[in-house]
Amino acid sequence: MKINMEQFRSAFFTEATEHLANMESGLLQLEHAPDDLDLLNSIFRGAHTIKGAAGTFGFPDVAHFTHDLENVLDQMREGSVQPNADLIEVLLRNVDTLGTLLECAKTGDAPPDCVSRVQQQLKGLLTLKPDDVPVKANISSAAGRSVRSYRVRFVPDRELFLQGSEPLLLLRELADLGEITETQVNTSALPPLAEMNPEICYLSWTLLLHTNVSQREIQDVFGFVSDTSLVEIVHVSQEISATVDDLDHKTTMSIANESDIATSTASIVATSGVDARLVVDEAERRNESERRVSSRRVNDRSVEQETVRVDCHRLDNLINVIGELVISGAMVEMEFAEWQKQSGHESQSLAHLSKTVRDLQELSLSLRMVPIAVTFQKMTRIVHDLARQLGKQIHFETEGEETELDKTVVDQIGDPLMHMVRNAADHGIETPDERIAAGKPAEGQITLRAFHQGGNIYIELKDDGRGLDRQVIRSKAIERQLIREEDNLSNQEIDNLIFVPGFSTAKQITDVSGRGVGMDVVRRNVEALQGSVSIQSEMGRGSTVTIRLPLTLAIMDGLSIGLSDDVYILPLLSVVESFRPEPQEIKRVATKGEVVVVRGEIVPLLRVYRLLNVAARVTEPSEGIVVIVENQGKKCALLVDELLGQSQVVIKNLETNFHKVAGIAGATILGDGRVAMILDIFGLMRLASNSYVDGSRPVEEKPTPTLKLTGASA
Amino acid sequence: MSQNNKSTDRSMNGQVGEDGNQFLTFQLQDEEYGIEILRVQEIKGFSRITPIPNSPRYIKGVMNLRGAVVPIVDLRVKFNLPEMEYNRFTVIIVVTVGAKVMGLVVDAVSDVLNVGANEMEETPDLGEGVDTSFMTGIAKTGERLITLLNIDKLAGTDESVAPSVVA
Repeated sequence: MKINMEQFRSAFFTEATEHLANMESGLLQLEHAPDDLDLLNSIFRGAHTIKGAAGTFGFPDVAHFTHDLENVLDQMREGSVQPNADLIEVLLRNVDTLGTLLECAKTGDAPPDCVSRVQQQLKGLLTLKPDDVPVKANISSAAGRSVRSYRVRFVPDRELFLQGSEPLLLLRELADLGEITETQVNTSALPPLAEMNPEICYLSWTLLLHTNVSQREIQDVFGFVSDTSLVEIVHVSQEISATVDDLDHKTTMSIANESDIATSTASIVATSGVDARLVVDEAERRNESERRVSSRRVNDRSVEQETVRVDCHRLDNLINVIGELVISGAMVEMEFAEWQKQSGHESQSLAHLSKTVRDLQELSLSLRMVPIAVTFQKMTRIVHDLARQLGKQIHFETEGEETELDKTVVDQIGDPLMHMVRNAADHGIETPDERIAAGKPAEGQITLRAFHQGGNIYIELKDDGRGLDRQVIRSKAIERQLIREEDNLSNQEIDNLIFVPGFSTAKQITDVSGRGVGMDVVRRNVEALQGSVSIQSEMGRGSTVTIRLPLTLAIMDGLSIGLSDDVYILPLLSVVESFRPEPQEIKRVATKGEVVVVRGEIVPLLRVYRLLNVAARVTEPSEGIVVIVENQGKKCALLVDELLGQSQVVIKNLETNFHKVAGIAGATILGDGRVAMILDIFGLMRLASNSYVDGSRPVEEKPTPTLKLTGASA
Repeated sequence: MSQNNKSTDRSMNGQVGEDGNQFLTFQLQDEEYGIEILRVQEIKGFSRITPIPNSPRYIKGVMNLRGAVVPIVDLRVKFNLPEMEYNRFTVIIVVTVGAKVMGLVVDAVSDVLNVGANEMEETPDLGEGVDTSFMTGIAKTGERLITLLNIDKLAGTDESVAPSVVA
C-alpha cells in the first residue's frame, strides 16, 4: 500500500513538472501575444491541475501557493488584469518558486524563505485590483459568461483511499468552481457494519453544480482519479435541474451543503449497520455500476494520448539485451553460413530472422528518442531573463523543436547549449544603442535551430551580433602560448581557437559569462556525446555556432580495418575515401611530417600503428591503404594494413569497466565474439598534433609498473 | 546482504575485520594470494583478448564477457613478476570493483579458504621498496602464508590512489 502511494506521488511530480514547463512556455509566448485567450486558459489549466492534485496528495504548501497564482491567472482571463511584461516577469518567478516548492515537497525539505516573499509579491498583485472579490462570487457575476448547470455523478473506485485520494477534497474543489445547490450521497453500497472495511470507499455522490466553467474543467478536477472512478458530467438546463432527484435512489440522502459531507459520511458509517434497508439489492447496483465503470475505462484509454511511462533503466536494459541479440545473431549467421557451405543445404529462414532482429534493434533504439523541444524551451527562458538583466532587446526564435534525439543527448546538451546561448546574448548581441550606431535594428536576433542532415543532428545557434574579433583572439592565443607568432592560421582556425581550454578574451568576466570561458567546456561536453562543435563568424555581422551530434549513442556504421591481427572500426561517417597511394604521392615535409597528395590537396598522413603504439604489417604507405577521414573540417589520411568491410556496430563504452583511452572512442563486439576498438578520429588527430608539438609521442611516456611485491610473502 | 556490506566496508578501509571471512586463493609464481570471495563474480578459462592501445602494460586488453567489454589485468605484470605464456591452466578471475567489472589473469586458482579473525594479521611493514598499499593483510593457515589483496586499491578505482599504483 505504501509503495502504491509512492508510485502515485511520483506520477504526480512528473506530471506537475510537465505542467510547470507548459506554464513557463505559455507565459513566454503570452508576452508576445497578450490577447491569446487559449494560451491563458492553458496556463490556467496547468496551475489548476497542480493545485488540485497537490491538495489531493497532501502538499498544502504547494496547493496554497498555486491557489494565489491561479487567482491572478483567473483575473487575467476575465480581463480585469492586463498581462504586461512586468506581470509576466512576476508570474515566471512564481512558476520557478512553484518548481522549488515541488522539489521541496518531493524531498521533504522545508521550503526556502524566498517562497513567502514571492508569495507576498503575488498577493500584492491581487490586492492591487480594487475589484478583487472572492472567486466564487466572481463566477456568477462575470459578464459575458453564462452560468450553466451540470449534474455530476461521482462513483469513486472502491479502492480510492488506497491510491491516496480523498473524495472530500475533490468535492470541495468542485465547490470552488461554482455553486453546488444539491448534493446527494448514495449509500446503497454500504455493507453491514460488521462487514465494512474502513479502507474501502462505499459511497458515491450526485451533485448539481452551477458554474461558468467548461465541462472540461470540471472533468479536470477528477483528473487524477478518472482512470479508476466513474465520473459522469451531464449538462442540464435550468428547467429540468429540479428533477435531478428523480433518479431511482431510494436510499440517497440529501445534504444541504458540501461541508456537511464529511460529518454525514461519518454518521452514515455509524448507522448503516443497523439499517437493513441499505443493503437491499446492493449486489445488483454494484454490478451495474461496475459495468459502467469498466465501459468508461475503455473509452478513456482510446481518447487519452497513448503513452506509457517506462523507467529509463528498463529501457536501457532492453536495448542492451537486443544489442546482445544482434551480436549473437551475427555469430549464428556466420556459423550457419559455414555449415550451409559444407552441407550444400539452402535455407532462407535465418535471413528472415536476421532481418527481424535488425528491425527489432532499430525499433528499440527509437524508443529512446525524444524531441529536443524541452531543452530549447529552457533557452527561451534564459534569453528572456538575460535580455532583461543586460538591458538588451533580443528576439529569440527556435526552429525544429520536434527534432528527435537520444534522451541522453537531449539531457546532456542542455549545459553546453546554455553556455552558448549566454555567450550569444551577453557578448554577441550589442546594446540597442550600439546596434543603432552600427546601422542594425535595435532588436537583436538569436536563432536556435535543430535539423537532421546525413545521419547527424545539427544544432545551430545564430546571432546577428558583433561577431568574433579575430585580431583580439589571435593576439590572445599568442599571449597564452596556444599558437605561435609565425603560425599562419585560416580565419576558421582562428575562430575555433575559442574552444581551446584556457582561452578567454574577456577583459572582465561578467557574472553572466566570461567570453571564451565555457566554450572549451562546451566542446568537451559535446565531444563526450561523440559530437563536434565549430563556429563561423563575421565581424560586425554575427556568429553561428554549430553542434553536430550523432543520431544515437548506441549504434553506428563502421568501416572495419585491419592492423596486424587486430580489427579496428572507423566511424563510416568520417570516412571520405580510401585508396592505395603511389610512392610519389607520399611526401615528407621538413617539419610537418608526412603528407599525402590527393588530387592536389595536401593531407597529413597519420600512421595509426604509431599513434596507438600497436603492431602493424604495413609500414610503407604504398603497400597499405590510406583512409582519408574528415573531422571538423580537417582531413587526414590514416595508414592501415587493410580494409575488412563495413558493418553496423553496437558501441560499448570503455568507461563502463575501464577508463577513457586517447584515440579510442569505444569498443564493439564483432560477429565472431571478439572485441574491436572503435577509433576516435578527433582523438587520433590530437595525438598526432601533440606528438608534433612535443617532439615525442605521448604514448612513449607509457607508465611502466614498478611495483615490488615479490618479497611480500617471504 | 549485511555480510556483503560488511565485507565491502572492510575492503574499503583496508582493515582486517573482527571476525573471519572467506577468500578465494590463487597462485602467482610460487606465491599464494587471496581475494574476498564476495567480490568474485566468476572464474573463466582464458579466452581471446583484444589489446587496448595506449594502456599500461599490465592491462592485457579487453574480453567479451557475454556482451560486456571487460578489461583484463595480468597480475604477474602488475606485480612485476616474470611474464608467462598463457596455457590451459591460466584462468581469469572476474571480480567486481564498485560498479565496474574486471578480469584478473592468474596462474591457477587454488581453493576457497575460511580465514578466522585470529588467523589474520595486519600487513607488516616490509620496508622500502615494497608497496603494501593494496594488501589487506596476511593470513596464516597452517604452513601457508596468503597475501590478502584489496581489490579496490589494486584496480585503482580510487582515483587518488591510481597514479601512485601505476607510476
